[in-house]
Formats: sequence, structure tokens, C-alpha cells
Amino acid sequence: MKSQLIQADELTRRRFIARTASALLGVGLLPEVWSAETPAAKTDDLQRPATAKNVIYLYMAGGQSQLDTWDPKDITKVAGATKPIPTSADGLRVSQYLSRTAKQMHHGTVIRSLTSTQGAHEQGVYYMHTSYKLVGTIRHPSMGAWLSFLQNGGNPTLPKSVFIGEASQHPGGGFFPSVHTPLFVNNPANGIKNVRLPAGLSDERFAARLSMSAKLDADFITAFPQSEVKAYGDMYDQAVTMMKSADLKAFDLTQESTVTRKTYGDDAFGQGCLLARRLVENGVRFVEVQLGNWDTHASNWVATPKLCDILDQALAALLADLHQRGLLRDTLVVLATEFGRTPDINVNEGRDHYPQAFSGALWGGGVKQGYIYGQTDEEGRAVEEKKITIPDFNATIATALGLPLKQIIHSPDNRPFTVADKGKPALDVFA
Amino acid sequence: MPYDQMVRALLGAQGKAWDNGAIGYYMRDIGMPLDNMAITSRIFLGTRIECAQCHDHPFDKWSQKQFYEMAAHTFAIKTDDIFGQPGATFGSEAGEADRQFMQGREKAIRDSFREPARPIRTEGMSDAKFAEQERAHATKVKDLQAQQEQAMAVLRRAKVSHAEVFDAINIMFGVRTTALSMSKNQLTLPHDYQYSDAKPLSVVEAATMMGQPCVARPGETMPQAFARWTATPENPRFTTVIVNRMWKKAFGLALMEPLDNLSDKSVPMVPELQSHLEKVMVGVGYDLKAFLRIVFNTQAYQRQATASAVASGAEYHFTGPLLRRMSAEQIWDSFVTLINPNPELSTSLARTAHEQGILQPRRRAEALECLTTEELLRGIQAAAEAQSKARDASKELSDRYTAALSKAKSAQDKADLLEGSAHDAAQTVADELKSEAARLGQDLFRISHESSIALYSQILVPGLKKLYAKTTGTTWQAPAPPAARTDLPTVLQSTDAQIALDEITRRNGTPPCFRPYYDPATTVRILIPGFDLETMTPEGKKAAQDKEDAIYHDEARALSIPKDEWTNYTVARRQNTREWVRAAELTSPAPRGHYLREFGQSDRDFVENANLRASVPQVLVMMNSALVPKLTEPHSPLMHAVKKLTAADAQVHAIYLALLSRPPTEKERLLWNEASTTGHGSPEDIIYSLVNTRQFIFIQ
Repeated sequence: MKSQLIQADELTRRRFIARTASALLGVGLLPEVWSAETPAAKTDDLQRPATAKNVIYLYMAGGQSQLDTWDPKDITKVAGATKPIPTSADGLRVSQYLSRTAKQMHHGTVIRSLTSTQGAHEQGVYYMHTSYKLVGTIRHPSMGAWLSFLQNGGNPTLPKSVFIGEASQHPGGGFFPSVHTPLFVNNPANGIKNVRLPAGLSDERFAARLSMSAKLDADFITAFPQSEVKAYGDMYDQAVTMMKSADLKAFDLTQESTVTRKTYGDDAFGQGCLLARRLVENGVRFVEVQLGNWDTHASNWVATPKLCDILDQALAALLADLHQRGLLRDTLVVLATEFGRTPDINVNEGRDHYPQAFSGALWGGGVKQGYIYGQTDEEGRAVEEKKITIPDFNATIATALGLPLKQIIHSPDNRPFTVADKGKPALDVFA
Repeated sequence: MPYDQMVRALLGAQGKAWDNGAIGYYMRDIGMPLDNMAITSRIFLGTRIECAQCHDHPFDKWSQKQFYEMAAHTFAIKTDDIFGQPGATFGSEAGEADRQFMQGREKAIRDSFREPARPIRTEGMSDAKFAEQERAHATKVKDLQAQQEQAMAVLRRAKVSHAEVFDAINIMFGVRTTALSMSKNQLTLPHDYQYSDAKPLSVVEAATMMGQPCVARPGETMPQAFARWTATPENPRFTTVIVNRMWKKAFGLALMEPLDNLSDKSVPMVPELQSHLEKVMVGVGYDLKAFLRIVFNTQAYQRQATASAVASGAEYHFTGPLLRRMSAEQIWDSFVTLINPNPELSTSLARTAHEQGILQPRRRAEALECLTTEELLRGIQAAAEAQSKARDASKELSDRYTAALSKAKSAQDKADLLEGSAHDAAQTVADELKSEAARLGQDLFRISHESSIALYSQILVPGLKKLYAKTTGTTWQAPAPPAARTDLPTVLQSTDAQIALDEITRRNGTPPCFRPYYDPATTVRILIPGFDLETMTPEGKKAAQDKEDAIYHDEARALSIPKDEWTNYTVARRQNTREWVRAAELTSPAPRGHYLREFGQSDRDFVENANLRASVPQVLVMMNSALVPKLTEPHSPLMHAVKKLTAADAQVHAIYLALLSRPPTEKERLLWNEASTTGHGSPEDIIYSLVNTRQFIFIQ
């Protein structure tokens, strides 16, 4: 640790500034274990040219019912009150609760053959986000953190990955240096906290106060030339730069028209999707937006239609908006959840956890348009073809981003890990 | 409590959460006993063995088998006790009885089925006649089978209801995973075990990886023996690790780094000091306070912090402590001291709330334990029936609700396509449909809460009455003959239902659909001495509040605050007392976004996860959040201390003492004098500037 602190002193100031983005994510001394150099690209037969620059990852927390969304069935015993409707993609049907998104399905691929080994929420969420099983001795990184670690690019004054929502169980940056941790935004309407001066403090007085701080610290800084101390000075410079940065507007939803804001839906998820679009547009590479409460053990047909309503409004608006702005070509929109729900309807008119066979979806970012990948049997009990595991699913996203699936990265305690844990990408989903 | 005793208490913990908080050590890793052992080995023995969980350790001598042998010591600990499961701590008897009861009913149904005698062909019976009798027999068998199937279906449904009620008891009454006990589970090697010293899936016997073997004494569980083996001077690494941990706390660097990854090759930077400190630690009987008192009194510690960094692997001769940033908790507590004039009051209120928080689940669990198996089953059946009825009612309603929702959605889509007055008219229609759907949604919500009332009043309330009788020796009496309240919905009319609503309110707050019918001042409640503190009643709450307010009035008097400002002062102080509580009294980790987390508090997801580095969000907090303005509020203790002084120099002096624990230097005094000539030397300016210096957050 100490040796790295010393190296930090040798980093040029220019490099520090170039890393404002990283700094924003919550670190001080950036080069911790590895980040001083970009990991060398190795020959990797699994690595393909990227088809997407950015990812908007919509996470349906609680376990979304595939049967009432992306894989609706005709058999009443299984379907309950849910009915399939046609979509803008030939032969692809979704449930009637997604009538708006149905008009956007020609932009993407539905995956109906997901299968997971984790049937509990905490474990399932973790597995979906990291491709590794939850253990007590290490925290694995999420996809946004892998992207941040393995690739450069994006807007250097903004964070590389952002999480929007209530993140109680998010693995964040895992064992990577905190520079790769996503920036967490709880409420999309509020954006980043504390970037404006407190009420009543003028720019002039603020400058005078900070300049006094610097004068008062002069002797201290000479006496203690440690890099930890210096890092604070850099953080202050960067924070002030950021407060003045025009890029911060990316986080400001009031820049959007009322009509646009309304189109995405007047709720945290809808506004989160709108913020995701703004961030991607401004060079943030990975944005996750979470929609919770899919755990419909009871009253599935009360909760699911309501949740679908929120999802449908936001997702349809997002896809149309990205498409219209020409962003959908470079942006992969992913819809994922920890597991699906049982074809059997329980006594509480609910569905229980079902990791055996469930669905996800991909739009834009180089995937086939209006395509169905994989299939379950007519009651949705088992995957009939093209089974895709969680690591496979994540390997597919990583492949779209052009990440090296075989490159081994060692954690600080020297354990070897790879992005998507040796999952095999479903190359068939790419156009 | 001395450190060795504390470690033994953690590693040997058993029992219920409210009797023994130490069970949290195993509960944290519920379902992950192997990971738990890796952590135990790391934090108490400074030895990293997690690599050996899946294969022989690549850099150290530990084999996978040794890892499993270590893990076998604590593997039989059961962290997932669930009420009503056979063998579980709570109601194990009831769980078993319930199972037998259900089996009995099933058998009775099967036994009641007697196949009617087959028709016998008597002499002279015509073929047609016999065929007719055979047909009649077959029909009768079919009918009986159908009847049996129906009876079984009813029973299956009852079974499901029972299972649900058991689940509900666990979840709703908060008694799930609250106890630690021993099972007979044995640890086996993984199915893909690859070494020749043992077969995959073979049972692993406990064995220690260093030092003496660990043998359980009569009456001792294996984890207790393991606790004793770990926390003793005879253990080769136990004392080494804690000595280094304490030394690092004082000096910012351990004698052996990294202190939690020791191997046979680890050598202390100053071997004589290491062995001396180990003797001191054993000498003070692992009393960490006594040990630190010695360390803090050394000349080495009292010197100024060293001016240069120590490179990794380089030797340091401890000519003084390293320069360290305050930990998140130290920064937070500094602000608490500056903002809250009476942190002790905060602590005592926090502890009372904490105590009540522990007593409530204990009260519910002990109430359930008071019920006999028969009483419990009777309650469960009644609750299951209510549940079943609610389910039928909600099924029909939920179909209507779903239909209403989709109607409202298409109406909205239609409205969105229109403009002008046509849009307005269509929007009105859509809005009406939406509120119709919302109404149905609320009805559904109410039905589910009605069945919770049944669950509480049929199971918990009888238990509470028995617990009351057991505790006080007298029967619980409703406070006054309950006046028939005709305004109440049927489901709330009985006294028990009202108690149930009070219990639901205590646990989760009053459900919105029942809010008009719940008045904390007049509600019927069961108060059990020893389980319900005084503050559980409105009168008790008011008395406590009055007592608290009297303290604020004394403060106001001492600060010469004019009487007409006392109310404002009191209101502000109430909030201040609850918010600015010392870190040790707050839930750890604090929620994401709390100042503590911004300053780098560990999320406690894994070991040593705190972060002392500078970050942009952190300096943004210092510059722009509500934190510094809090220091300069008119009634902050700091501002009171400053405002009572009139001379500018005296004010500067006071602020320096409060923020940096030293007077200003001559140079600093002059700088502030100069600043005041340009109008930038107010106490607010000084405080803001000082909080935003490096000196404020680094310990010299």
C-alpha cells in the first residue's frame, strides 16, 4: 500500500486531472494496485470487436415473472389472467401488460432460455451482477466495474458507471479499487449530491474561504509531504473543477422538457431511465437503473400489471428516444432479473421463485432485431433449446462491449478472476 | 470484557439473540459456515486460508483438507432455526405435533375409504344383470374415489394454510433466525475433491492447523472447545495478532504487516518489541484498555507524527506514529461534539430505544412459547381459516382489479393520442378509470390486513395473555369494560382484534386502511412488566419527553436564551439529540449516503473494508453539504462559545481550540486579522476555512 502511495506522488498533475471521472467515483489516491497502467490486451480468441459502446442495464429486482412479460403462454393453468399480444417483431409475442414496449420489439432480442443456479434473492442478485456465487471472503465486481477496469473511453469528467435506484444489495466495484465503483444516485431527480454551494454562500466568499484554508495549511503541507495529504489538495481542486463543469448538466433532469419527462413516466424508474439516456449521451458508459418489488409470491396479478405499467412506459419511451437520437446503434439496453417465477400458480394467486427457466432481453448495441433466442416448453417449465447460464448471459454483454473474456485479473489477495467467469457468449444474438 | 473472553464468547456463542448478542458472529454468515471459518482464521489468527477452501493454498502451506478440518469445528452450528420446524428451538414440539395431526387426518381419510364388495354372480344371474351390477359397482368406486380425492384436496389446502401460517409466524412475529443451536450435521469433503489423502464426500473430522489439538471437555460443544483453543496464550498466533492490531491502532502501522496474513516467514520489524508486547498483553490479561494505556504513555507514541511515508516492506523503527487521517467514526464524532451539546443524553436515549427494540421480539417469542401445542394448533387452525377466506375474497377482487387497470391504461393511451378538448374529455375518462382501479387495489390491501388481524388475535394475543399471567401472577384484564364501538369494522370489534392492531402497529406501523380506527391514547393494549418499558404508553412517552425537554430548558437558561425562544430551541434540540449521536451508538454500517459512509466507513460486507482515502464526494460534503452550516447555526455549542466573547482575537482563539485543540499561531492570528479587514474574517468564515484544512482531518 505504502509503495503505491509513493508512486502516486510521481503521477503528473495532468494525469490526475484526466482522472476526474474516477475521482468522482469516490477515491483519492488513484493508483492502488493496478490502475497505474491499463492491463495489456492479450490474444483472446473469445474477444470480438465491440458492437456497443454503452450499456443501459435495467434490473428487475425481486425476480420478474417471465410468464407475465417476455415469455407469455397460452395454457390458462400457467398463464392465469395473462394474455400474449403480437409485437412489432414478426412471431414475437409479449404479455398484454407490455403493450407500449410491444411496438419497440423490432429493435431487439428476447432471451427465453436463461437459467440460474441461485434461487434466493441476495445470492441471485449477486450472481446476476457478478457471474460469481456470493461468498463471505471476497466481493466480486459488477459489469460496470469490469468495463471501467478493462477499458478506457467515455467522458473523462464523468463517472464511467452510474447506478440509479435503491441499491441495498449491489456488489458495486467489488475487489477493484474504489475508483471503479459505480456512482450511486438514489433519486434521479436530485442528481449528484453537494455539487452546489450551500445557500447564502457567494462564489466570492467561497473562494476567499478556500484560499484562507490553503494559506493556513501551507506550513502543514510542507511539514508533511505524504501523498495522503497531497491527495486531499488534488481532491479539492478536482471537486471545484467539477462544480464548475458544464458536464454536470448531464445529471440535471430539469434540462428536459416537461413532455419528455412525462413520456418516461412520473416515477423514480421512468426518471431514472431518462437520466440514463442523458448520461449515455454525455459519455457515461454503463448505467444501471433498478425497478424493484417483482417478488410476487402473493397476488401476482395485482402487482405484476402495476409494475409492468411502470416498466412499459419507461422502456418504450427509452427505446424510442434512443432510436430517434441515433443512440441505439451504440447502446445496448439490457433487461435482467435474478430469476423467474413458477409456472404453477400458488394458493395466494402468486408465483414463487423459479431459476430453472426465465427470460431477459437485449435491444440495440448490435443485437439481432426482432429475434427470439431460446425457447421454453409450452408450460414454461424447462428450457427446450439454447440454454443460457448467468455467466453466459454476462459473457454476451461483455462481448458486445469488446471485453476480453479470458484475461485473468488477480484480486488483491491474489485470487484469479475473469469477466463473466468463463461464461460462453451467445454469439447468435448478434446481427 | 478482556479480549480473550470476548473472542471465546463470540466463537462459542449459543442461544437466542436477546439473551446473547454474540450469536451475531455466526448469524452474519448464515448458510456460509466455510466462509465464516476463513474469516475467523483471518481476524483472530492472522492467517488467510480462504484459498484452501477450493484447493491447496498456492502460496502458503495449508491444504484443502486442513481447511475442511478447521471448518469442521464449527460446522454443526445451526443458524437457520425456524419456528414450527421439527427440531427447531421455538415450538419444536408444536411443529412435530402439527405434522402428526396432519398425518392423522390423512390416515383417517384413507381409512374411511372401504371399497364396496364386488358383485357376486349368483347362479342363474343373466349376463346382462351381472354386467349391470359390475357397472354399478364401478360407478360407486369412482364416486368414493372422487369423494376421497375431494377430502384430500381440502386437507392439502389446510396443510398449505398451516404451512403459510407457520411462515407468517416466523416472518410477522420476527422470530426467524433469532437463535443459534447445535445440529448433528457433519462436514464432508466436496464432490470434486482432487487430492489423494481422502475420498470426495468423505466425512471430515475436526483438527487444528497449528498448535495444540482441540479436544472438547465433557459438557462443552465443539465450537466452545474451538473458542477455548483459539483465544489462549498457548495459541501460536492469537496474541501476536491482537498485539499488532493494537499497535497499529496507535501508530498507524503494525510490527508485522500485513497483520492478518502471517506465515511462517513473517518477521516482526522489531522482534524484541514484538515479544515484549506479547508478554505485556498476557500480563494485563488481554485487557485492551490497560494495554493501550501503556502504549499511549510511551515516548514513541507521544512524539509528533513522522514527516515521511513508510514504503511497503521497508523497516520502520517507530520514531513516532505515522501521520493518519481520522477514521470516518472519528470525523463524525468530532462533528457530534461540535454540534450536540449533550451527546450523553443522545446515548442514553439511543440505548433505551435499543433495549426496547430487543425486548419486543423477545416478548413475542416468549408469548408464543407460553402456548401449549394444543392452543397453538387451535390458533393456527383459526388463523388458517381466516387466511383461506381472505384468499377467496381477494381472488375474485384481483380479477376485477387487473381488468380495471388495463382498461385505465388503454384509456390513457387513447387520451395521449388526442389533443385539445377531445384530449381533456378522454383524460377525464382515463382518470376516472384509474381511480376506480386504485379503489379496488385498496380493497385488496385491506383484505390482506384483515387476515393479519386474525393471525395476531388468534395466535399472538392468547400467548401474550399467558405471558402476562406468567410474569405478573395475575390474569390480564381489559382496562375497562370495552364499550361496543359501532364505528369499527366487524373485523376490529373484539378486544382481541384491537390488541392485535396494537401489536401490528408496534411491529410495522398502523396499516393505512386501519388508521381511522387506531388511537394510541385509547387503544386496548397488553403491557407486560419487564418487556414493555414505560415509553410504550402515551403517558410514559410524554413523561419521558417532559424530562428530556426540562434538560433543554436548563441548557437554554444557562445560555441566557430569551424565554420566548425556548420553544424553538427545544424543538431544534430534540432533533439534534436524535440525529447527532456518537458513531458507536448508531447502526453500523450507516446507510449509504450518510456522512459516515461519505467519510469512508466500512460497509462491513467483508473484513477491513473502511477507506481512509481522500475522495471528491467527501470534500464536496465538507464544502457544500449541510454539515458546516450546522456548526454555525445560532444555537450550536460552538457558536454559543464564540458569541459570548467580544474580542475578535478571543473568538479566533476559541474556534482554534474547538476545531484543532490548539491556540492559533501568531502567523495565523495575523492572517485572520488581515482577512477581517476585507470582511472575510467572521466566525463563520474561520470555521468553514478550518474544517476545510488538512490539519483538521489528519492526526499529527
